[in-house]
Amino acid sequence: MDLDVRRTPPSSSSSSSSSSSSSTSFLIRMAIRISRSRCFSFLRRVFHYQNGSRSELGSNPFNSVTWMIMECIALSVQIIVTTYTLVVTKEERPVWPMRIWVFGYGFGCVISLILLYLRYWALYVSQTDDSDLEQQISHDESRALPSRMERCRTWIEFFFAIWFVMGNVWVFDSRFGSFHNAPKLHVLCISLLAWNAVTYSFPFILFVLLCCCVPILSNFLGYNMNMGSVDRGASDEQLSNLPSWKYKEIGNKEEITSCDECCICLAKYKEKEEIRQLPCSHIFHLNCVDQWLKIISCCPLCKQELER
Amino acid sequence: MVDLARVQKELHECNRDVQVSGINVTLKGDSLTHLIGTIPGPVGTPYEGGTFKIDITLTDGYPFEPPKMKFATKVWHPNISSQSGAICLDILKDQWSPALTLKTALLSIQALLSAPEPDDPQDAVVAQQYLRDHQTFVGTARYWTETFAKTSTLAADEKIQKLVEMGFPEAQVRSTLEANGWDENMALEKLLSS
Repeated sequence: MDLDVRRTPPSSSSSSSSSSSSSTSFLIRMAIRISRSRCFSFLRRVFHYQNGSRSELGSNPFNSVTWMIMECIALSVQIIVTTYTLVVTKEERPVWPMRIWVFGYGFGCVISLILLYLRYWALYVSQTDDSDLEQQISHDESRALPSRMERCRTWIEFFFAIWFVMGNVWVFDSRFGSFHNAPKLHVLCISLLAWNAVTYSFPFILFVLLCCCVPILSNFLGYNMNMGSVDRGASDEQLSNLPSWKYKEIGNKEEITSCDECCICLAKYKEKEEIRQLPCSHIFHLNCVDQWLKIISCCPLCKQELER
Repeated sequence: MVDLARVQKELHECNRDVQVSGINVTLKGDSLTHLIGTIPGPVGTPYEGGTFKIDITLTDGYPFEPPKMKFATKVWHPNISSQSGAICLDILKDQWSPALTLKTALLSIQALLSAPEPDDPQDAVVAQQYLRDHQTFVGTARYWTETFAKTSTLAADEKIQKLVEMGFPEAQVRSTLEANGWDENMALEKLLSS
């Protein structure tokens, strides 16, 4: 907790400010203590998440072993498929950039596989003990590798993005009989492009799926998202459950208990007009009160709500 | 459609006991959907002695929707906008019930005048003043009542007095002024031409 911070008396900060070097070191130690206190752990997490390379183990889901294995599998499959196709289709005569594109793609995959291994090494092998922040600060050079690696990763991503666009242009532009000349290469190119398209649009797909899923799920669970705002009216079923009858001038005991006019239209009840009684025993014209209950299902006079 | 039969009835009911309640509802024009309500300022409040005009517009959903009401007279009150006259009252919003009438709504507004709710303000400035400097609030509210809510009667008397002094009979002066919307010059022209 922030007890660490409070323990240092304010006088120590004023005394140490006399010499600038000691004050800065004090400030650093102070900052470390503050950052270590539990109330800042959330902020620290966010900070580390944003600065992926410096993050702690497990704080970034993309640095988890499972994700790395998945990445590794995807890259290996792509490399194997490209090499295999390139070897098999030696006799095929595609339009010229196609083979270059496939080759370049495979090359990019190999490089990213190497980078992936480096990342794994940097995260899980070299930094076995990075729990202490003070130690991390002293071992500054150990972070030079990850940061350079991060830059390489950015570049390779950039390369793939450009290569994806180029591939689209080349493959779909050179369709003049290229499929007949080099069917296997063509299929490979298209499948690689499709795979890329899916990975690039993955966040969007996820978003759309979520948008579809939430209403379906909420429907399935029977949760009404508009509860309280829109759905204040009574259903037809509720209305039909309420007692109603035709008004009769004489011998109607409701006439005695409550007033003889409908307080919604302010008109007196007439012979054979339809009357509805609410659970609170207030009576109204059937048409008047139904119109109101469909808007808000409570008695106009006493505000007692209808049972759902 | 507005339930015209109900509105007719309400007007009739309301104007029957105007002497008792002091609450009056009149037509603004020819249509039954635009009305003017008048309420006297409650006794024992800074609004005492004033007559407040309230602009009433009935929507198509009336009586299943609340009538739109706002002050046509300027009022200094935490729950009434000093600029637009908009009223912050629950029964004019989500607490409306078709069992309420124009008269009961106007009575509620009158009650609001005597019991402001500064915690749910419409006019933040007034509410602040009400809470922090109550004396000034009472002073301002009284001044506004004197200035805006009493002009009609005071000024009317003055105008009548003026024209009577010019030599016209008082009954004729009064009727002419009323016919011309209390415009002094117009009334004078009419009086001279007749």
